[in-house]
Amino acid sequence: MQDEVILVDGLSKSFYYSKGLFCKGKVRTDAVKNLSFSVHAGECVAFIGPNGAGKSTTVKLLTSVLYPTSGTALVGGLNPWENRRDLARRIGVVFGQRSQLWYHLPVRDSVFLLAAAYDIPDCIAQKKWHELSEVLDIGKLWLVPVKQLSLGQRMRCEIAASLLHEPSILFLDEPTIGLDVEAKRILRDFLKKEATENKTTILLTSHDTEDIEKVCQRVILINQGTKMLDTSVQQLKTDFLSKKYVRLFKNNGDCECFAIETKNKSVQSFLKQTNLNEITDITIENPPLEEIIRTLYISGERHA
Amino acid sequence: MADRKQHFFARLIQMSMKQSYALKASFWMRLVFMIVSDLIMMIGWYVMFESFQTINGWNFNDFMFMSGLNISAFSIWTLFFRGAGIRMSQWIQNGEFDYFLLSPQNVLFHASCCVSEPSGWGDFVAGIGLMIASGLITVSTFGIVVILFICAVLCFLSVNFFLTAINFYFKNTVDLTERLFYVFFSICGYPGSIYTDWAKILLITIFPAGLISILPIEVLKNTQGFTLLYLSGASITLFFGSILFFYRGLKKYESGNRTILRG
Repeated sequence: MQDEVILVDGLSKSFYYSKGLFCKGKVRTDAVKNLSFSVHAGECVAFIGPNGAGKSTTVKLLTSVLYPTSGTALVGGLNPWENRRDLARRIGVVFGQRSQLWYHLPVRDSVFLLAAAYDIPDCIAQKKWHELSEVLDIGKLWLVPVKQLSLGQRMRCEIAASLLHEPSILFLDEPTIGLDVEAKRILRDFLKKEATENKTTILLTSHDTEDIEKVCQRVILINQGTKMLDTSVQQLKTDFLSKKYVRLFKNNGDCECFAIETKNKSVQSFLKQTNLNEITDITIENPPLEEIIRTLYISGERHA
Repeated sequence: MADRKQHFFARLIQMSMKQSYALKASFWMRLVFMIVSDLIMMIGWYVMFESFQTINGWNFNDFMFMSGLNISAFSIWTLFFRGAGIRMSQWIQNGEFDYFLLSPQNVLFHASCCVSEPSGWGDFVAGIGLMIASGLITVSTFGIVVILFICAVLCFLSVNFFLTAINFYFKNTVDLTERLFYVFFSICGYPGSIYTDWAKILLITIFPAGLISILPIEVLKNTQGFTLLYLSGASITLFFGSILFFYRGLKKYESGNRTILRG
């Protein structure tokens, strides 16, 4: 039995808004509704869902930024809302749209401030930063003011800053948002390495399916604050693959693509009905994970 | 452990100042113009006191000391705790407070100390200068003046913490709380002797501007032990009360999703 480092039970968060200047009562919005799940040590879990599904709210609840309306949670064995400061020492958090680096000052200054916040001596912080900078390719940015960094460079520095105190649990809220292909690749490789080599538990929210495929083993899908699905990435593909894409490359250079609904017709029977004399090559592909997730979102919204 | 915490806050203040000095020309201009602005204000009051000599028993020296205390205590807030007040109110209203909640440090002081306003140095120099020029600081009163200064700083911080925390309880109150603070600061800028009866009671209890503008001069001029005791007790109570009010409000914080950068 593996240790459960994140244990969520019946977690709910509601926000209340006034109906209007002269109206009595308030409108309630349930951002998270009765959410329960657990994550084992060293596991990489993708927390996915359409915009407004409650992903970020859940991350903020588990990192003690928000107080829940009801429910309980244990993160690293701690209650996030009673042990905020102890929890902060055990977790690392990266919000794609937020920065913990000081805008006008060199990266070095922010690193030393974070080191002081976590009671890490400067020499150890610098050594750790050096290790991280080699993997994340940020070695040359030590003395560069944050305002002069590109988005990709800044995000890699953010990740390194979040790992300075060697957290055992890492929360990443859309860490690859706005990054170019190479920056995304570096980040994904790094996160995968961090999980396998250091056994860091990763909970990642992202709209980029490659993040999920490359980094995570498990997917939790939520929609309108409710858990819709909790399965492995591999199982997700197996269970929800209802289509195959068949590409036929013809003698004259044309290429035709067919989407075969496998529950109605097998690929084999499709090919039997096709005139293969004109064909020079055939490819058969599964739909990308993105399409599977899109289908899940749509069916989830209909269901809701 | 305590040393380590001091280390963090010392570094935080150092960094917030470094950030404010990043634009050097702006730093020097703000410093010089703040001193000039304080002196111009004093010239106006000097002309007034030349005509009337005293206002309800206060002479120009009393007023100079009160202004110096007010300005120098205010400068401590602007130099070291400028995050408290309008900046923190905006972070709370816009849901940009997450960074402080994710740090293993004291939320309130972390957020307060991460902003420094360079014009504070101008106020500090002018304030200390005015207190010395008033002639009310002597060897025998020096200890009392230090206590009065600490109480005044605590009052400014308390009022800022309290007004900032209002933003947790009520939405869209940044402008209101900012105005309330400047009303408080303005009241602190008038000779305390103009407030009598119920106004004086109000200002030394509910709206505690009198703890800066009225009581310090009474303590110094009349050497009133009880008043000093009340002033110290009220300042400390106000300070811890405002911290309690802040942390109660923090539970109501609603995070947002605006794209933000530090500094």
